[in-house]
Amino acid sequence: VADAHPGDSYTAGVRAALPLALVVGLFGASFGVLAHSARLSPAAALLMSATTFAGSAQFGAAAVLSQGGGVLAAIATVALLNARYIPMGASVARVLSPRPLLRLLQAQLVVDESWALAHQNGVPMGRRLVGAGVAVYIGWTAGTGAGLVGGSLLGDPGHLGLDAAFPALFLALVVNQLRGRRAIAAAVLGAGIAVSMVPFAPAGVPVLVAVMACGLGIRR
Amino acid sequence: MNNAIVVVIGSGVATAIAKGVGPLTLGRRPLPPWLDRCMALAGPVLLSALVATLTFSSARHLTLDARAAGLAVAGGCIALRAPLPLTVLLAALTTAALRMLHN
Repeated sequence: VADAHPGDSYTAGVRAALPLALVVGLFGASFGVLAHSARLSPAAALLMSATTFAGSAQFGAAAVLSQGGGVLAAIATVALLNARYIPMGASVARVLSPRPLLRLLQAQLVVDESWALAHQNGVPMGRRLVGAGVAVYIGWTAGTGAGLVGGSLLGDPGHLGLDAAFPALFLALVVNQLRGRRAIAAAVLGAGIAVSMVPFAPAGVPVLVAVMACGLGIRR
Repeated sequence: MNNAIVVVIGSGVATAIAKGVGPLTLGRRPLPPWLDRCMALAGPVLLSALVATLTFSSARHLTLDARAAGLAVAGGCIALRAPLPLTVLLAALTTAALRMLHN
């Protein structure tokens, strides 16, 4: 990654992501457990975590399959839930490697957590993104493997309140990015759009539609 | 080919395209200033949209449950400038404790 800023390093990314990688690992474990009820073989579940690497989308696909949904419905769920990675990937394009193949690989490390942690003072940093992404990736795939092996020892992560960990993290990160009236207005508008879309659109779509709030940046 | 393998491959390809299309097409050229200003808002917009939907919805329903209390505690921690891991931990503990009381 070229153009390194001060504070932009792989180790800083790994360090920032470590506590989170553990939580992600627990969710990976519960995906491993769920995979069974979705009729995914252990090998398929592990392969999915290693290649799709997107928590909510994988849970979504598993839910569709376990309810008897078809292959196309499961893939469409993943595509909708992960469509937000189009704007997220685009927003970090500038800080990835200049080499196309490496860029493509680095872009695969973009997940909500690594993307959010890659920002410092609202500016995305390439090495931080890669470091954080690798830490979260290891947590997710190792967790999936542990869940496949350990079976139902873990239970529902909801009992541990872990599903509240992610909004808390993202709230802390967004507060850091609210520089100026326009950013605050866009954040409020984005949250409002997302919430108001919930009853009318399948999961994943509300956050994608919220991207419209970025249009506040068009005017100088 | 078994159905599960089709799902795994289809999901992987769809996700790789979503994540990769921006970096592959945009290159490292600087963007026009208006688009740059819009992209700068992507962080606040996407993060707040995630916070809102992760806290206040389940599937297609708007909800107000123990997660909201966890988020409120997180907000308090942030206002008091508590360290990030503590903030996240207290939010999770609050939610877990409320659920335990409720059941």
